[in-house]
Amino acid sequence: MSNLPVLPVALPMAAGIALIFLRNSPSLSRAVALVANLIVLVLAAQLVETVRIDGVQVLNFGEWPAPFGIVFAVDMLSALMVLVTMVVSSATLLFATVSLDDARERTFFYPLFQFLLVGVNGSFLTGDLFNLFVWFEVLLISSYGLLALGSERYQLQETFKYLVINALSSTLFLIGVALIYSLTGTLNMADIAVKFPQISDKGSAGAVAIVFMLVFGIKGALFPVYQWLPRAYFAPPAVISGLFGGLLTKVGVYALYRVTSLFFVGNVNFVLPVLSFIAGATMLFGVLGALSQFDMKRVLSYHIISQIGYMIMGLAIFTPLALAGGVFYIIHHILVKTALFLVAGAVEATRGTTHLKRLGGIVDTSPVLTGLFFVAGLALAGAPPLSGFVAKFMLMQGGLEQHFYIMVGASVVTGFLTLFSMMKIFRYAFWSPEQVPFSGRGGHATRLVSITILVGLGIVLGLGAGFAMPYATIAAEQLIDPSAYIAAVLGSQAR
Amino acid sequence: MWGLVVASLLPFVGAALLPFLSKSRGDNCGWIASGFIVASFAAVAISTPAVLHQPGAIAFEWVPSLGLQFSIAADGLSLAFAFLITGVGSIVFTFAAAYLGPEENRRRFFCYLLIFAGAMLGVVFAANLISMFVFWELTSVSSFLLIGFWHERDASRGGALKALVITAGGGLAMLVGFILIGSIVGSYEIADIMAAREQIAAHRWATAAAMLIMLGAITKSAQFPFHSWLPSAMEAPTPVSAYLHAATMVKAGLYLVARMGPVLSLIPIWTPTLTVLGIVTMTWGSFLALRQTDLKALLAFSTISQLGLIMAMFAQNTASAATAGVFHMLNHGLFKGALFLMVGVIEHEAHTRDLTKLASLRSNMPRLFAVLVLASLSMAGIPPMGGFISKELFLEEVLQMPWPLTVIAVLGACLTVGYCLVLAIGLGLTHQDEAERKHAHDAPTALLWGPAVLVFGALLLGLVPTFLAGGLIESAAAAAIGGHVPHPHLTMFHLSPTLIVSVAAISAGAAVFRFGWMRRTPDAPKLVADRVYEAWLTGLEHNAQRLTASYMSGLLWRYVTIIVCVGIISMSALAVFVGFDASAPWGARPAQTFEYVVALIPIAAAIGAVVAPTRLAAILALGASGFSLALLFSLVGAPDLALTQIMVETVSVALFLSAFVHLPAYRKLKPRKFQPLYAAVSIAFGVGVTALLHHARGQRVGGTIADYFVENSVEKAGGHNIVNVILVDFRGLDTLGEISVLGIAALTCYALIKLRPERKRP
Repeated sequence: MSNLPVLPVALPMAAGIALIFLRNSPSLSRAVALVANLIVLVLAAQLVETVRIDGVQVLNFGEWPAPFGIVFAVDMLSALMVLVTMVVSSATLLFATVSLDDARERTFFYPLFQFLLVGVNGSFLTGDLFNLFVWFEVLLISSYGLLALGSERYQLQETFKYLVINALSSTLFLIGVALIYSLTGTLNMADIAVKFPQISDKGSAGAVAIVFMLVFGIKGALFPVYQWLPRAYFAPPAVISGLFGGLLTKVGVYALYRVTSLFFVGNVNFVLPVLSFIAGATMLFGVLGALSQFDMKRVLSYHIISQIGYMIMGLAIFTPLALAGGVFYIIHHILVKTALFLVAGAVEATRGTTHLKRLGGIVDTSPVLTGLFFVAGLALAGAPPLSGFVAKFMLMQGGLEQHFYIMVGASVVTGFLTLFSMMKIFRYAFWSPEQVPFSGRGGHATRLVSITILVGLGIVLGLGAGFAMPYATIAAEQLIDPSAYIAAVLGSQAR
Repeated sequence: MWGLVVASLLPFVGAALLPFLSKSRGDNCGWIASGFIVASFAAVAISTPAVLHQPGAIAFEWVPSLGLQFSIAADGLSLAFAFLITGVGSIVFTFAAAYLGPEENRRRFFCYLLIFAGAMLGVVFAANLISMFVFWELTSVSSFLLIGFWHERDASRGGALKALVITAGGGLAMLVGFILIGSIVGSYEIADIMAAREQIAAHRWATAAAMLIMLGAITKSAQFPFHSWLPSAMEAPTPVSAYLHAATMVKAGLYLVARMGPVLSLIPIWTPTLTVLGIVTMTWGSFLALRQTDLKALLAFSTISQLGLIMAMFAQNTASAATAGVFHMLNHGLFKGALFLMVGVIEHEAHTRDLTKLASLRSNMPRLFAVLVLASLSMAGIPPMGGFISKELFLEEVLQMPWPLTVIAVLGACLTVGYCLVLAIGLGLTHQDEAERKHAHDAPTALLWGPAVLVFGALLLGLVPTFLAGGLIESAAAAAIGGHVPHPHLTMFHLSPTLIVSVAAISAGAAVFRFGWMRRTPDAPKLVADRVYEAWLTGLEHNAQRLTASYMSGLLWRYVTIIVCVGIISMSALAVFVGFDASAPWGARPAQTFEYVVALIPIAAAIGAVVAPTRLAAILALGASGFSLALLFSLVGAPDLALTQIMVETVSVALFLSAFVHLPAYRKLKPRKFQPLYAAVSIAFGVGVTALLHHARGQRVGGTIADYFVENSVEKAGGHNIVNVILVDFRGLDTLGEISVLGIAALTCYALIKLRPERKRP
C-alpha cells in the first residue's frame, strides 16, 4: 500500500496552513503556493501512471480494513480528475499572482486556494460516501471564502445565495447518506456497490437515487436546479470565477458519475433515462441562457451549464464509447473553460469591464489574447481538430449507436449555438471598434503564459487524442464494470 | 502521393513561418505567401501523372480507436480541385500582394489566406470523412476571419458571422450524417464506404444521412435557400471574394456531392432534391444578379447561380452530366476568378463599384475592358470561350429532365446572358461625364496580368479543351460517378438541338439586356433569405432573454422552492410509478409515546421561528428546537450526543445574541402574510424526509459497520468510549476534514471583516 493517494490532499493542506502564516509576504506566498502546486501536479501525473499500470490504488486510513475504516480508492477517473485539477489550478494560480490586488492576496487568498484544492482532491480520491460529504464541506467552505473575498456588495449578495443553496444541498446529501446507511449499513462506496443491488424495495432504492441526483445536480448545476450558478460565478474576480467555473461544478459531475455507476445502474432502472432527459434540457437551457447575456463572464457562466449537459450525456448513454467521451469532455471542459475565464480576466484587468457593449478593438491592442480566445472559443464549441471536437464526436457517435436521437439532436443544436455565442463575444469584444477609450495599460505577459498553457493543452488534447484516449477508455471501462474497483477496496482485505 | 502531402502542408508551413520571414511592416508578406502557394501548385502538378497512374493512400493516425485518421488519397476529381485551388490561388496571391496597400495588416491577411488554401487542399485530398470534416470546418473558420478582415466595419463583422453560422451549421449537420454512415459501415475511410454503398442505401438511416450531408453541401455552396451568406461575404477584400467565394471554397459543397455521389445517389431522395435545388438556385441567382447595381453583389449572385448549375450536374451521377459538371467547374473557376479580380481593379482605380456610376471602361481602361469582355463571354456561354462548351453540355442534360425543370433552366440561361451583357456592354460602352473621365486611367499591369492569365486559360479551354484538360476531366468525372466515363468529346463545333436552345437563350438574354426588362434597382429589396436570417437572429436572442429571465429571478427563496419542489415532485412520481414496499416494517422498532411527545417540541419551535415577530424571538425558538433535540437524544440512549448538542446550541444562541448588538434594526419591508404554497411545500418536504428515513430504516440488508466498531473498539483501538474512538481513530479522517472546515470558516470570517471595499471618500 503506497501513500501516494493521500498526498494530493495532504500537501495542499500543509501548504495552506503554512500560507496562513506567510500572509504578510505576498511574494513568498506566491512562490510557496506555486511550488506546492507543481509538486502535487507531478505526483498526480505519477498517480495516473500508477493506476494505468497497476490498476485501482487503495489506501486504508489507520490500517482499518475496508469497509470499516475510511479508504481512498483511486481509479482512472479519480486520478485523471486530480491531474486536471492540478493543471488548471497551477495555471490559475500563476494568473492570480499577477492579477489579484494586493489586499486580496494578503487576506488569505492563497491559503483558501490551497484548502479548496484539499476539498476538491479529497472528493475525487475518497472511496467513502460520508468522507465525500466531508470533502465537499471543505471545498464549499473554502469556496464561500474565495467568492466573498473582497466583500463587495454584489459578491456578498450572491455568495449568500450560493451559501444557502449549498447548505440545503449539503443537508440533502446528509439525508441521502442516512438513507443509504439505513438501507445497507455501510458507508464505504465499494461496499455499498455490493449491497445496493440487494435492496429489494425498488422504491427505497429509487428514493436514494433521486436524492443523490438532486444533490449532485445542484452541485453540478444540472437542469432544473442550476439557477444559483450564473450570478455567483460572475461576482468574484475572473481568476476565481475561472477556477470555479472550470473546476467546482465538475466535482458534482464526478460524484454523479461515481454514484451512478457504482450504485444505481444495477438497481434503479429509471436513472439513465432520466439523466438523458436532464442532459438534453441542461444543454439547451444553458446555451439559451448564454445567448441572453451581454457580458463575457456571464455568457461563459451560462456555458458552464450547457457544457455540463454533454458530460451527463456521456453518463446517460453509458456505453464504453460514450463514457470515455464524457470523461474526455470533462477534462477538455475544465481546461478550456478555465482558459476562457482567464481571457475574461485578462480583459477585465486591462479594460476594467467585461461587458460586450463596452469592449472592442482587442484584436489590435492584444492580438495574442485574441488568438487565444479564438482558439479556446472554437474548442469549446467543438470545432475540429481541438479537444472539444473529439469529445463531442465520441458522444454523438455513442448516442447515435444507442438511438438517442433527440439527445444527439440537442447536442448538435447546442454545439451550433455555442459557436454562435463564442463568435458573438469575438465580434463584439475583439473585432468591433473600441467603444470606450482604452487607457493603454498593456496586458501582463504572465497572464498570457498561463492562458497559453491551457489553450495549448486543449490543442494537444485534440490533435493528440490518440495518446490521451487510452486513459479515457480505461476510466470508462472501470465505470462500466466496477468489479476491479470493488475488488481492490474489499477483496484484498482480510474480512 | 507524398508530393500531395507536401502540397497540402506547404500552405500551413507558410502560415506558421510568415510572421518570422516577413519584414516588420509586412511588405514582402504577399510575395512570400505567393511563393508557398506556387510551390504547392508545382507539387500538385509534379505528382499528377504518378497519382493518376498509380493511385494510393497515405494515412496518419489520429485516434485509431475511433477510426479517426488523416488519410490522403487523390484521383482526378481531387486533382481537378487541387489545380483550381493552387492554380487560381497562385494568381490571386500574387494579385493580392500588389493589391493590398501598406496600411493593411498584410501579415495577418496572408496568414489566413494560406491557412485557407491548406485547409481546402485538405478537404479535397481527404480519404477519410472525419478528416475531410476537420478541414471543411477550417475553411469555414478561415473564411470567417477573411470576411471580417476589415473588422472595423459593421457589415464585415455581420457578413463574417452570417457566413460562419450558415456554413458551420451545415457542417455540423454533415458531421452527423458522416457519423451515421460511419456507424453503418464501421469505418470512416471513403474507400470502405464506397465498397459498402449497397449496405448504406439499404439501411434505415440512409435517408437521414443523405439529407444531413446534403445540408452540409448546399450551405457551403450557397444553394437556395441558404444562399444569403454569399452576397454578405462580399464585404471581404476582393482577392478573398475571388478566391474563396468564387473559385474554391464555395465549390467544396460541389466536391462533396461529387465525391459522395456514387454512394448517396443510390438513396432515392438524393438526386431529385439536389437537381431541383440546383436548377432553382441557378435561375433565382441569375434573376437576382440582374437586379444588382453593386458589381460585387452581381458577381456574388452570379456565383450562386453558376454553382446551382454545377450542383445539378453533379447530382445526376451520370457520365455525361459529371463531365459537364467538372468542365464547367474549371471554366467557372477561371472566368469568375478573373471577373472578381477585375472588379477589384476597377474599385482600386475608380473608387467605386457601383454600376450606375461606372461607364466607358472601353475608352478609360481598354486593356481591362478586353479581358472583362472575354470573361463575360465565357460566363454567358458564347464562343469561343470554354464556357460555351460546358453550357452546351449542360443544356444537353437539361433537355432530358422533366419539362418544368427544363423551362426553368433555360430561363436561367437567358438571364445569365442578360447579366453578362450588363457586365460587358453596360460597363464598357455607355457614356460618362467628362469630369469623371479625367481621373480614370487604365489598370496597372501589376494588377491586370492575373485576370488576363485566368481569362486566357478560359479561352484555351474553349479552343483546345480536350488537349488541355481532357484526361483530367475524364478521370475527375469517373471519380465523381464511381465508374467508367468515355473520353469526353469536347468541341466548339457541333450541330444539335442544344445549339438551337443555346442560340435562343442568347438572343433572349440579349433582349433582356437591351430592353432592360429586369430593371436594376439601387436599393434592391432585401432578400427573403436575409430577412429570415435576421428574424432568426433577433428572435433567438429575444426569446432566449425572455426564457432565461422567466426563471432566473435572482431571488433566493424562489431557487430554494424550485429545488425543494423538484425533490417533492420526483419523489411523488417515484411513489406512483415505482411504488414503495408498504409491507416492510417502519423504523427499527416501534416508537414509544413519549418519543412522539418530545418530537413535537422541535416542530412547534420551528413553527415559532417562522412566525416570530423579532430576531430575538426567532433565535430563542431555534434554540428551543435544538435543546429539545438534545432531550430526544438523551432519551434514546445517546447522552454524549445530547451533551454535544447542548453545547452547540448554547454557544450558537449566545453568539447570535451577542452579534445582535451590531446589527441594524430589524425592519419589516412589507407585512408578512400566510403563504399557503410555501407552507405546503415545507410541510411536504419535512413529512417526506421523515417518512423516507423511517421507511428505509426498516429495510436494512444485513448488519452495519457499527457492529465492527463495537467489537473492536477496546481490543484493537484501545478505547472504551466508542464515539471517541470512531471520531479520532476509525473515522479520524472525517474529523480532520471537519476541523479543517471550522478553521477555514474562521479564516473566511476574518477575511470578511478585515477586507472591505474602499469607501469612496468625499
